[in-house]
Amino acid sequence: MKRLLFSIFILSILSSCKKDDTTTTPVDTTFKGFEKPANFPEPIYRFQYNPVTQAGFELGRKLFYDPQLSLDGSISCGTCHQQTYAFAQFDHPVSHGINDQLGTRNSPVIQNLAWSQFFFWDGGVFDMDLFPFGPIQNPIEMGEQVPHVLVKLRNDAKYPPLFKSAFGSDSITSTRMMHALSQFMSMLISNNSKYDKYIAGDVSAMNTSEVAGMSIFMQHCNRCHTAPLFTDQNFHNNGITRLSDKGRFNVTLQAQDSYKFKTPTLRNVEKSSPYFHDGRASTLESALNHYTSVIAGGSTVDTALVGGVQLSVEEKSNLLAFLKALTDDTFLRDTRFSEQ
Amino acid sequence: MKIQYIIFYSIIALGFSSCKDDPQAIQPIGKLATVQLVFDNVVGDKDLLLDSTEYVNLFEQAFTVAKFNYFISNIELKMKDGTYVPVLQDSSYFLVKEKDPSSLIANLNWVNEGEYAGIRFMIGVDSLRNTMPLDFRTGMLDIGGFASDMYWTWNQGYIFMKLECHKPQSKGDPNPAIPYVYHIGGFGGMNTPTINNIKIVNLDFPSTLIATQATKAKVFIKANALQVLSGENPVDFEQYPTVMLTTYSKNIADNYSTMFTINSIQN
Repeated sequence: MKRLLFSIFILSILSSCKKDDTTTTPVDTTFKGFEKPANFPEPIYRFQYNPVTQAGFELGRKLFYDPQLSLDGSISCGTCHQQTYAFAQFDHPVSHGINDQLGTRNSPVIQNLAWSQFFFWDGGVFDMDLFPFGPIQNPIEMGEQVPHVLVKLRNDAKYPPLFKSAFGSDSITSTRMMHALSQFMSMLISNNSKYDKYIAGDVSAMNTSEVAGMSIFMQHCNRCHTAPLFTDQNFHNNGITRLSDKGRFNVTLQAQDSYKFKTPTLRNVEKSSPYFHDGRASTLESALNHYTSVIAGGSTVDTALVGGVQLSVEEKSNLLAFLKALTDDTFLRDTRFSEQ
Repeated sequence: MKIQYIIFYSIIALGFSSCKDDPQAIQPIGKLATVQLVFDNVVGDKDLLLDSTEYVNLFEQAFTVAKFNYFISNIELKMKDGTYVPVLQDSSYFLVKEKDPSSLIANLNWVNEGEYAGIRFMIGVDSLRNTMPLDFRTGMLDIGGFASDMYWTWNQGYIFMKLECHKPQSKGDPNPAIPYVYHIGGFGGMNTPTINNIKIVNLDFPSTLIATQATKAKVFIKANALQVLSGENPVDFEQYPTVMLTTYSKNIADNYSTMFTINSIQN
């Protein structure tokens, strides 16, 4: 009996060792679909209508990086949404469309979209599946028409088999195309920053400066950039205005929404320059300086920001350190999300 | 994981089964008939001919029509006792486009055999459908298909009515024609209240409609595009050459809420 117990014990050690071996293997090829991080709320995206599968995700990735989605085949979604910069576009205050046309707003990051209530800076779209119609059909972005994109995909021998493995038949419809894009985009989850490790219990993950920065953040910034998503999914006028763009007003036609824009998430903010809806701040420091300088009140400017937040030089540097602790290198380098 | 999938799929199955064209579940009595709505688009007392006939608005401003589209949905037939019977909601979305003759005929299936005295419908697409997943926006509602020009991609929602006109030009004029553009929509918003331009039309039939399985009764409906620019709020092209999602769009929606009349019934 003792011998039996002993061999079971040995076996269990061996098997547990084996398990460890497989989990520490750098490339885990099994596709797990959408998994909600423990510290995140329930997702908003309606996965019951579009469960993520490996074939669907891979098709979505192919579409995301396919310039055929633009009128002249010059740009793809990935042109203005680059993984290295948390799927924002580096060094471009506003997005550049076909024929070198300039947009009016900064292309935002793409991450944790399954929790997003609103899309676009003004929140005009509220369903991820309906978002891609916007940039594809905007004459100054990709300048195409979805029905015509579908024709191109049907005529491209690569696509019908991919639609078949993702959705069961090779019929290529707008619903399937958008579902595939949503499957890819909903998988772009960033939850492995130093901050996340710290919150999960690893107190060594952030240094003293970052921890001090976090408490300043919670005091002054978290009201709008609410953790863990670092956005309150709401609209504010932060004093960054251009008369030509009334933001949320364009959607609701309510005077109190004039010049309000959606609070952007701050995850990977270190990498997603330039900042603000019109991309006017090129560095994180200059973006932060906006909030510590005197912001004039009036019209719809958020009253909590008026006058500016008073921070010492040290507090500012700690706050910047904390913002950089929101960088998630695993996400930024995850090859599953890169063009194949 | 497997259990989760089963739950997923049963939710999907439930979703579909509740929306399937299942007449028994909705209208359990009697035999079913098909009624046809036949639309005839006109401008005042003239027939609507795209890009040719010249018309004038109430301000004596001349124009030609380049595009005239509208959504009809949530159709109900009025019984003789005044009660309304809904046509299966899922299959009562119709997008009428002057340019596409086949869209001028709307087949209402799943109508109970019987006698009807009138019709009630929505101009536009109801709020609920405007917030539904893509799976429930196929056919006439496919924004990547037939409805692609009747949808605002930047402000999620269907366009209910589109009237695009031009100021007439002399032949050989090299300048582009001056456009007058009216794109009216607005379903009331999802998370925030926004403009609501959904209009309900209620029309009595000039004679009784007799719906039987053997015949295909027809309702001839006239849609007067001039009413978009007339009605209670006459539109001055100079002042409002373009109206899309603005507060003024309410006036245009009020105008066109009276653009339909019943020409005749054919049993």
